[in-house]
Amino acid sequence: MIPVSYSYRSLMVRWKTTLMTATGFTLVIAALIVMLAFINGLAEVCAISGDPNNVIVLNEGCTDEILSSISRATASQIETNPLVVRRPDGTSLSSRELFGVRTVYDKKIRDYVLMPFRGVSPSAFEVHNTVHVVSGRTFRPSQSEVIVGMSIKNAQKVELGDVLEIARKKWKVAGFFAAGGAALESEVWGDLDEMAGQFKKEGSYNSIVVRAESPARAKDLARSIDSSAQISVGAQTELDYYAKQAESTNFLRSAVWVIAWFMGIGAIFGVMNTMFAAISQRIKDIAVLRLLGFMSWEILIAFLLEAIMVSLIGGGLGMLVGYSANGFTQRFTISGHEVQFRFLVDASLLALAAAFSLIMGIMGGLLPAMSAMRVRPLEAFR
Amino acid sequence: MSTPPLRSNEPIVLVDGCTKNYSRGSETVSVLKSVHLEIARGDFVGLIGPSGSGKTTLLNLIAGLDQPTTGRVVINGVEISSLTEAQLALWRTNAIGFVFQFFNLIPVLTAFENVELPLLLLNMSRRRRREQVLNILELVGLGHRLTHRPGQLSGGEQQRVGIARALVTDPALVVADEPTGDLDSRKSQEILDLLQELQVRLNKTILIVTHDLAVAARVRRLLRISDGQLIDDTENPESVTHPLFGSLNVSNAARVKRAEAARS
Ligand SMILES: Nc1ncnc2c1ncn2[C@@H]1O[C@H](COP(=O)(O)OP(=O)(O)OP(=O)(O)O)[C@@H](O)[C@H]1O
Ligand SMILES: [Mg+2]
Repeated sequence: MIPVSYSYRSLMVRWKTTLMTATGFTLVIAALIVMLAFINGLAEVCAISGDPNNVIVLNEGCTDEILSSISRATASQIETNPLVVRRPDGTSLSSRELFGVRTVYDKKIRDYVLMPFRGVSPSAFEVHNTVHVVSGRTFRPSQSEVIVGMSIKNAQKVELGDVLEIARKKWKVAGFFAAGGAALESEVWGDLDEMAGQFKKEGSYNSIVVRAESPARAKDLARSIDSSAQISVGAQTELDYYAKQAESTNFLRSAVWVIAWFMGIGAIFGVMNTMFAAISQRIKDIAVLRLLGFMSWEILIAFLLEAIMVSLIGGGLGMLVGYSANGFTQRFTISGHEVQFRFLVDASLLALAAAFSLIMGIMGGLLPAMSAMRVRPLEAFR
Repeated sequence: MSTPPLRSNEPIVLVDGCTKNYSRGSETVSVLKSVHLEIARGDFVGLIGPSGSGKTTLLNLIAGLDQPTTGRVVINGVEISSLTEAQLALWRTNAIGFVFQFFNLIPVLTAFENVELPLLLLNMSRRRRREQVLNILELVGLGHRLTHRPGQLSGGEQQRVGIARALVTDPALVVADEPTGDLDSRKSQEILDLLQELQVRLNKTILIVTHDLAVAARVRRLLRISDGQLIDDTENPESVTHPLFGSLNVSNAARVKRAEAARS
């Protein structure tokens, strides 16, 4: 085989062109990684948000909490399902919740932002058992108090004792809560009855979350509620619910690939162009190699390798740039929930980027390498 | 492909009734017209003739770079005119060494790596390759220039690398197309000294195409080609005729060369 050093040194001899061509790959790969890291982060939030033991019940046909409305009577009926966990006193482990989105003044950016809020009863902390107050204390009913999720606290620099104006009412921040990075951390929680009064939603809830003994029981519970003849509601496990929310990232993923390919075509033509130029200057090299006994496919490999090296140098730099976005936090609205998530660059994303870079290198290098392969040695010496 | 066992009196090169035609548009150009040639093992043969007479064409047939239109080419017992392209490539690596007028070294590779190239085609350990390359570079007097690139070597040195590359696979036959064409006369003589020395020491058969009468005067057997036909075959040429100066003494050939250079 023609030594790899031949391809490598040929690149280094024209290092300026090599670097410029490689830059095309750097841009494509960096952009691809950042965009996919964004989507990965969103998917991650959705993945960790669902509690496998919980079943969320919404109106029949509703895919989103915000449009759902369940009456008190229906709620009571749901809670009688035998698969729902009972407390020692015989009551069901169930959380009746009110959910809405209102604008709130953000003092950091000095503008109004959308803020999801949730009215809950104390049982919410039993059903969503990852939720715990990390500083301050929980809200007291009828005192116009709320607790704020950590991701809102961090994003909007909310402090204890701050007053948030939601729906023409002032709410005092009594504490902050965490929920293991789940979407709930991007919410403001207050007392269920107090909020219902304020938002004129007394007598109905947006969702009922009931807890089962195990993930398997949760599936059964969801099926049982879903198919119940008396109540027309839709029930699904929290896992399924958030997985469906994550599906909204699918179209984003397709869009990212369309963008990546368009940018990629630019990089492909870039490497194609420099390889054609390089080959036309090295016809004599090729002829000599052929005369010495190297086969045409070995010529093809040597020049293809050169293009691939450009793509891997550029792609490698792009991976470094893209990786620097890892952990960067961002807020994003998925179906009414503004959630905070971090850009996630993992090994599989890097591998994907490397493969994409390699494919672009091969696509850009193949035509020129084939032209190198077809050089007739005797004619080259004429 | 190892050298088949042959009787040593069998010619290493046999060109048997070869013709070579090129078609240019509708007309056919006959470049070689029924050439018959035998070269004995270990001989040092020169080929001279006017430009366009078919020297390179004949050399290419013998070196397995091109196929004759009709006729047979048998080198070292192998009928190369019937080999496929892949077989021919492998055969060339083993059996033929090439020396070019413009050296044709790979500019990005060092002297060592240039010489090593043909060995990469053979199944050979790294250590044996290194041994063989160092050995031949020492022989051509470039043991101290291993890591130099062609651009860092003089013309004469580059041609020594070229000769080392031609000889490193230990081929039975070395062909050289105007190997001194790009060198001044002093360097030409040095290269020729080297070729002659290697030919004797390593027992090679050398076929050299040249315009240079000083070169032609030093071969053991001189062939003359004109218009695609071998027209003269002289053993131990003591004089070389030149179209401008008529018949010359071999000892004067170098002077003619200089006069020629002055004229142009
Ligand atoms: N591929 C080709 N197609 C057409 N004509 C060719 C081809 N190759 C060689 N010829 C012709 O064959 C003739 C002999 O060419 P060749 O290269 O053998 O000459 P030469 O004796 O080596 O000349 P020089 O001393 O100039 O190198 C020339 O007239 C050339 O134009
Ligand atoms: Mg010629």
